[in-house]
Amino acid sequence: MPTNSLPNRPRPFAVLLLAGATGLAGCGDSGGLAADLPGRMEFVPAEVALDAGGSGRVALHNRGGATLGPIDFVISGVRDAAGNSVPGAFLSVVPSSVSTLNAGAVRQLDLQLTASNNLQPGPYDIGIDAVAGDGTRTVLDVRLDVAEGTLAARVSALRIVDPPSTARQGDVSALGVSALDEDGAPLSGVAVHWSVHPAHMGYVSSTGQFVGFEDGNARIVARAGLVADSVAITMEDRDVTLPLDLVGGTLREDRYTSDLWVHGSVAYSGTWGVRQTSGPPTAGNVLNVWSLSDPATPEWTGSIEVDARTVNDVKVREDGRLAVITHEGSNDGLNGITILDLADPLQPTVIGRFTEGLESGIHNTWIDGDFVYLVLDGLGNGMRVLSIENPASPRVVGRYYGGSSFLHDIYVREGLAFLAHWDAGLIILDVGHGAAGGSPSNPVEVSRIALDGEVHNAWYWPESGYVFVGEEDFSTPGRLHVVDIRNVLQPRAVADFQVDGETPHNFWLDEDRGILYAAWYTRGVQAVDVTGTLLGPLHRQGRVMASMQYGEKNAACRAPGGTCTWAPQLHRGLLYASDMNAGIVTLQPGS
Amino acid sequence: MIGRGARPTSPAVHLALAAAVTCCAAAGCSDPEPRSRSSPTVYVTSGFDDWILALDASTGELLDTLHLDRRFGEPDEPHGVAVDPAGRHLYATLSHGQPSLWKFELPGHRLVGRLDLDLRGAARIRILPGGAVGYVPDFWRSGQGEVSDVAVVDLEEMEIIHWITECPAPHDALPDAEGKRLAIICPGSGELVTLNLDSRTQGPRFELGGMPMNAAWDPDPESGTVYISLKGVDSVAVVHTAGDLHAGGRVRRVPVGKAPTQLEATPDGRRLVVANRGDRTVSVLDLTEFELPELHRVELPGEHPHGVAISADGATAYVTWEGTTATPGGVAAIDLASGRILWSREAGSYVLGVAVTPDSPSA
Repeated sequence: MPTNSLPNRPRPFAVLLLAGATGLAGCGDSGGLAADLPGRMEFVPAEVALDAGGSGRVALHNRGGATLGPIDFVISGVRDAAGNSVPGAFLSVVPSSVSTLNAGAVRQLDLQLTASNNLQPGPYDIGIDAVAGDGTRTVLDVRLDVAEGTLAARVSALRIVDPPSTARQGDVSALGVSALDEDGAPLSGVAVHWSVHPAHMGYVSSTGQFVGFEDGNARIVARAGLVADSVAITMEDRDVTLPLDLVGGTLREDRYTSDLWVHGSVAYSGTWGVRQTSGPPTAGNVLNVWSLSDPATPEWTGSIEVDARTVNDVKVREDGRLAVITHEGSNDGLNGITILDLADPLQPTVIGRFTEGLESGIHNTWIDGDFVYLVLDGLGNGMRVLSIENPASPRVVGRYYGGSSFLHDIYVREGLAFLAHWDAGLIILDVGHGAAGGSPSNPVEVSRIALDGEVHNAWYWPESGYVFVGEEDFSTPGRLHVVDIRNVLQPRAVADFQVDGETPHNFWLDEDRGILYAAWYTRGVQAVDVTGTLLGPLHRQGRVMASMQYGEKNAACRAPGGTCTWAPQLHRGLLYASDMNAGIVTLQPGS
Repeated sequence: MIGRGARPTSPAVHLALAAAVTCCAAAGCSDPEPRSRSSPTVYVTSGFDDWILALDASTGELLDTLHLDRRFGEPDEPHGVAVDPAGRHLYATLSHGQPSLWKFELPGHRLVGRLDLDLRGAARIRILPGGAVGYVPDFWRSGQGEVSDVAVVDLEEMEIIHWITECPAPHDALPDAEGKRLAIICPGSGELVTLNLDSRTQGPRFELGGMPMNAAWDPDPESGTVYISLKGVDSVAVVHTAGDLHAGGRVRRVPVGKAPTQLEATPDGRRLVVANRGDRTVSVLDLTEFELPELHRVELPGEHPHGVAISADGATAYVTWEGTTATPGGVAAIDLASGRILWSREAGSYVLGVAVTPDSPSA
């Protein structure tokens, strides 16, 4: 939907209905409920079975005497009978939140389960936790039973074909079956129910893709109707570890540090929000410049002050000749970007500030040659593409808005733009790739995948066909999603990675070694082995190579001394990570 | 300037607005007995701290902090704030990320509602006298002249019941004291657009120029007069919206400080308080005189005065200053009789909106 139109405007007939409803609701009583009682939510029914299409409906009542709101829904992953989260399966609730629920009021909620891959026969469970603004909560159990196909009843013999006897933890084995009917004729298209025993040993998909979680012995069972076969697989330890040593860093506590970009022997870091220090509070109105003449210990060499309260992002063009920094919360209300000349990398000079049409604020940016991709703050604004062929006189040449939500971040590679479009999901645009005839001045949507909201950032790895997508959700908490775009027209969520109690931030991928470095706020830097085929929960597969929480344990993210990692970048063998509290930390990945 | 005259509006508009007004007139929508409190409370929003501070109106003492940090790690920018006339609820807009309208119960500050607004940038929240309907304009700063909306919100159900689409980047949409007229201020086109809420027709439009930002109706509803800050020409426009629209002479300008923004009239209609964003001052104008002479020019402790609220007894104005990218913002209480600052305090970064509960300090 490449427009600037906003969604969900009531049609005139809807206005009539709403106006009437308002008159009733606003002036009505609360059905005799005692006003001195607190609000109390209740789902009716208390348990919902989705239909074969994955749809269902439930009512949310306020049985108490006081208004509750807003009511947000925290939705668990879709879990199979073994308790494993099913990759690529998500339940959505419409509306996604309830603005307010007065005493005695009822809201109907529609439930819909979507899955990137076919679900295999069997029961699935999802939990919905409804949480009101004052902390009142209630839980709904949602169940889906996927029936066996009609072909299953005709199977008289089933055999797992050429299974491996051993497999390494986290490696994916493609299992197949041979199914025969009572006449010994092969059957194709039989829906096989796969399972792993014991369940904690692994996960197997509807197509027989198996991944093991732990070392030891596992038994894989394939069943169709009353017929089954099983094989034993010995799981071996993945044994991937990465020494990740803290070798240096900075202590820059006057402002919160935001994004980081390293080029040559210089690092550039933005600043964020308002920090209360021992003196007056300071805002994120500077770009800091650091010399890496001693690579392990960045040395602050100066800063550029701009009209902003947050310089959220900084990017350096690949040739190192210019940089772009973003403005939010400027005094003059114009925001926009500042383009810097890096002829002397340690002494950037301002080429100019560009604000026209960018007054809402710029949150993130990406430079691809002579084009700058900009994330314009706010619903309905979306992306702008600037031509910086003449950096002193940039001009807007392209724009795109994906609808539903605000845009948060952009990553451009090989003619594809990956838009982290928050609740609209991951949106892939052709900006020169050829898949859809797009260009920077005419971005064309290729495909999108909703995931489960709060899509924050993305990194595309062409060699593997995977996009690593960050979900910044502080409630569930968020996780890293792996999206397979080998068919770019049909992206599929295939795996995820999560860390208990914390949500991810930005990523950097060492594509030579297949190591994903993920900033994880209080949990520091996570180094994850992403080699090979990826399936299911990566955090259960022995793929964590290092987890570096370099600050004080149990400290809050923006507490002095705490770990609060924002963005990593691998550069010349060192991993630099911006930290909101400290500035930059330098880590040495081992071999 | 002469207005462009009335334009018809759709029946849907009429019905939506009529329903709202009717509801406000019904007893069921309002609390007949405003709650008692020892002292009014002042609320100020900090756009870059993602909070609302609740302050004792008499002393500036911090009573509570309401966090509107919807997206930790992202500035959400609380912007406008208002208390309904009965003092039962506090409303605030978030203008960044997913713009939204938040509703808190008073007293106690229990969060009871949050409405996502399909707006590019939610500006102020203004409330009809009965307290049942609010107006939130879409101050679409990046719109480059494209028209954007005013959301009409049923505050009981926290639902959008209508969109008003009149002009580019409206910043303020203010009903008059009787809920009969609505003034929409359009910086993007330099206009004042009026709607007649009671007769359900469009009122006159006025081309004001000078980058109008905010409005204050004269408390006397018979006058039909609205005061509008003209940020670009350092003055306040006095616009007479009632009577013959083609008689001319219905708009005049009164100079104030530099780059005025919010302004409010005292309930008795004797004073107009104007925050002059460009020169860290507040103008107190005498509305009893035709020329609106400036009685006081009060210098604030910080840069960029922004929000104005006035106590129910009309004696005190509460004025915020945004601060700068290098200095904090805050709020000051000004004695309107003397022009003296009674108290002031810092309140965060990018301090914008301000509201005060209707309790009288002497109550």
